[in-house]
Amino acid sequence: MRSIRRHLLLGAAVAITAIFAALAAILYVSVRTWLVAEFDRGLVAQAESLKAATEFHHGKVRIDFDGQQPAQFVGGPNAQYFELWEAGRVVARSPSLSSRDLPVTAPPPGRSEFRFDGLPDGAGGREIATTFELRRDPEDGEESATPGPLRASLTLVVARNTAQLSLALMQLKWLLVAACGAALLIGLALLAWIIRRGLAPVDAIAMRIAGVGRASLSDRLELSQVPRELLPIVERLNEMLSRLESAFNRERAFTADVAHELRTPLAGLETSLEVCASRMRRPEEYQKVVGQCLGVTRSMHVMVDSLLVLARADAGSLAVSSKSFGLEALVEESWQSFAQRAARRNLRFVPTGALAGQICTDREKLRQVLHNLFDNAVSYADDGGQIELSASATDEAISMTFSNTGSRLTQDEADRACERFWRGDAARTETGAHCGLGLSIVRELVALMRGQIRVRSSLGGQFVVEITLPVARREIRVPSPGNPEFTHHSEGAEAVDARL
Amino acid sequence: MRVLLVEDFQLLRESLSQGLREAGYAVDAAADGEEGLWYAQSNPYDVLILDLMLPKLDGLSLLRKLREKNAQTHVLILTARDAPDDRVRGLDLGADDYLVKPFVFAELLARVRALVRRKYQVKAPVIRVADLEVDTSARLVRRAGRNIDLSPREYVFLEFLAARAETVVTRSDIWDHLYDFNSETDSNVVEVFIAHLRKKIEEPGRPRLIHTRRGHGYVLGERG
Repeated sequence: MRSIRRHLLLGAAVAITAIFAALAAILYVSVRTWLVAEFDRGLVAQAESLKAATEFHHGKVRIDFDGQQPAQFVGGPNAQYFELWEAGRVVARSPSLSSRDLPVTAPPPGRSEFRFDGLPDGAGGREIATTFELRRDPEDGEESATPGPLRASLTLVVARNTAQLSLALMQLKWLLVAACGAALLIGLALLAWIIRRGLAPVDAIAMRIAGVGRASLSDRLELSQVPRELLPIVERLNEMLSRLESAFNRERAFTADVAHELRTPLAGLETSLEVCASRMRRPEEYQKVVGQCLGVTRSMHVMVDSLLVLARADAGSLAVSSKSFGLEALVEESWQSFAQRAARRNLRFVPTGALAGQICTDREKLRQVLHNLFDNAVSYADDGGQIELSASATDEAISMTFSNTGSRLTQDEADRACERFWRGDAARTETGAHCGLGLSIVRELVALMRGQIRVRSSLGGQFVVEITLPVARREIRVPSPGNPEFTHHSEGAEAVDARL
Repeated sequence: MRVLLVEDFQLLRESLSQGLREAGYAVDAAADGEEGLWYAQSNPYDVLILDLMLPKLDGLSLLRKLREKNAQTHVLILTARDAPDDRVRGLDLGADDYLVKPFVFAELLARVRALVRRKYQVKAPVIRVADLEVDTSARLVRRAGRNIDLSPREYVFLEFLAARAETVVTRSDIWDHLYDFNSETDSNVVEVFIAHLRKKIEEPGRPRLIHTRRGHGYVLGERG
């Protein structure tokens, strides 16, 4: 698993090591350059003094030490070496060389070259090779009459053992490695501590999160103790908890409602049958109880079906199909099952507007929507009242407005009418057949068909449900119920759709 | 014993009323909270059977209003809500018992009987008056060890007198507790019923148990 702590530590370790290594390398190179330059200055001084001591003597080049060879050129542990070449011939060499040669490459005239090289005794050394021209100097007392060349091109090589330099550099190198290593170890330990301290709030929050929701979902993480960097996470978490809590509460309320709505009719059935069976009764009494129980069983049946529809809608398993069909025929078909009930209560049904023509949406779901809305209207309209359905259509959408007179709900109540199991007082006292799911199913189905629903009501006035559905509409025609052409036409449109 | 039933579900209301009446109780039934409150305030019911989810006025509000008026009716909450919170709230508001739907009717009757015993502060299920025994749990009446066969209505009538043994029970007490709003209003009914009951529990040669206090009412006891 990815660990922030390990990640930080590893990254910091690599970064610190790289920085220390670079610093050490820069330091080493600078010191080395400086030491070598110092070393070279010594070599140059030596070479200059040798050059100054070089002269013509009786037409020959020689190095004049005024009779005494300097001690460093004789031998010993800190011996220095020189060799003077003239045209490929050794003119003079230090006794420390004991007739061996220094490796030599002659630089261009007037130039000096430094290089590290092995000394004849096998030790490491550094040499300077310089090519210069020696002229016969008249003030030297050397007569110009003396035979021999007037000038000579000479190469002087001066070398020195670098053991001390190497030792110093070696010491420097180890010192740097040791210092960097120690600093690195201390730095990492410090870093580990800092990281642990820095991440402590994360551990603390993890602990608190682990405790949240065990007893109840209403627990929230205290924001005041949370570091700013973790604030967004904790805030999101709190929001998520709130959403979870309200979802759970909704679920719990729904389950309680379902329990209530199933238990009450069950209690009615049970008590009714129990009381009935407690003694012998007349046949008409049995008949009455059986009839009542049957009615309750049927309404329970309707409710269980409604619950299933809602459960499927919640689970997202209600597929929406799309098919072209005639809206007017569907309205007529849906109204048929309520016509008798409406007639008993002297209700008039008035469809108006653009009902004719073909629309393309989920016919079965729209049928259920119409069914539930008609059921409501027929149940709650005032006796002798009116139920209206007016439709208007554009190319993309169809709007249907269902209204009935004699509303028994205020606007506040109407706003809640689509909630599950919500029932107005009238629905509870008078019918008993309504479990308060009809409008919530309508809302779910309309949402599934990507439509919109609005409920308006004024007490004693109109109860209005407006539904807007996006549909592919083929024909818009003036309503002409009973027009034989209409049927014919819609069949034609159906055929066209089938081809499409 | 007079029971008020407040229940909005028609089938349950009707069948419960019928069952309780057949068990001898006088029953008034209300379909919503407001009606229920009106009934409860206008009569001294022995037991109120109360649903919680009611139209117009919910059961708990009804209970609160009733208890604010210091009504002594014993209340049995009858509801489909079984969450512990609901029970606690109901009992805290002054309910005496709680029964969750669906229920067995026999259990409801037993709980109603228990509430009636509490109301008349009778702990023992058997009330004894002289050699008369009224077994309120089995609803049996014995005199001198011999079973007396009574209809549920007669039994409740006798139990009401027995619960107040040796004290005067006025005719209006009897009206308030043994008749519901649907009963005949003929005041003669009580006399006829008492005479009927006497015939069943009093035999010739044995001391009378039901005494009439003219102008006051009736006393069940050894002494008149």
